[in-house]
Amino acid sequence: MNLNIQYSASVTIDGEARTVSGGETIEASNMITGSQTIGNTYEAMAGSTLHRTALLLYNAGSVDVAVRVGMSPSDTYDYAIFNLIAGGVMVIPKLFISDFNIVSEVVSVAARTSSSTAIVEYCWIS
Amino acid sequence: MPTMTITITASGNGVTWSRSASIVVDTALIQTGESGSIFATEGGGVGSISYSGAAVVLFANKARGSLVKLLLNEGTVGLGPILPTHLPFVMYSGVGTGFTGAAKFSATATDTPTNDLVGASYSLLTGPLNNASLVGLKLIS
Repeated sequence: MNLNIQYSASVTIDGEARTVSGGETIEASNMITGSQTIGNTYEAMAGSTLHRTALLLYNAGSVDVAVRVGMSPSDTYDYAIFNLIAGGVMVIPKLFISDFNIVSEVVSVAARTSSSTAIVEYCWIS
Repeated sequence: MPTMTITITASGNGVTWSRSASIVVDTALIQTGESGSIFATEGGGVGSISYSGAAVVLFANKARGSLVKLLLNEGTVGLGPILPTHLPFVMYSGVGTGFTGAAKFSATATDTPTNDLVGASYSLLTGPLNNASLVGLKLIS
């Protein structure tokens, strides 16, 4: 199917609008959406170990969520861990450059909260 | 205070997934061009930020048909995502609702994001290089 992905970031400073935006249509096999309740220990995100083009995440909770990206191959740093703040949206692509300085595949995506629980909504694209 | 808004939308076969984030920032910087070291600690390029002041950043590859390496540095090592044209990468620093930092690159599976982003640069993997970033800076207390 044709899948269209669009993004934008914008802010107005002293009356001047500053925007970065883009996107395009790609060929995709699947788009799966859902949500997952995350606790304060790492747990795998749905479909995170499967082949994918991208995983889009939105933190619908009121506390921060740590998103842990597992890369292979790597040298010392196997994980890139990012802060998905409450109300934040982010994209995990399928490939990273690891500290091995080579192209690495994202082999896992896991998440945990800073405290209590949060609902993380996802859009899984393959 | 200005609010930076980030929206990501995916749509196909009549189904749309769209989410937005809004973050209050002090001010914002925009970077665009063929070379991009947007934080001075990465050296070269158009370094414009020399301190760990980013509250939120959207990184984008604007060159169709290309793949770009986005090397991020949170004080330990440079690594990061490979960006096709259709996918941006978004990073946030802690804003008081949990974790204090933006990221942590680690060998320890239980670590959490405790470090600020101190460096970021684009480099070419394949195809032309043209990128853009919008950086929202932290509120000054």
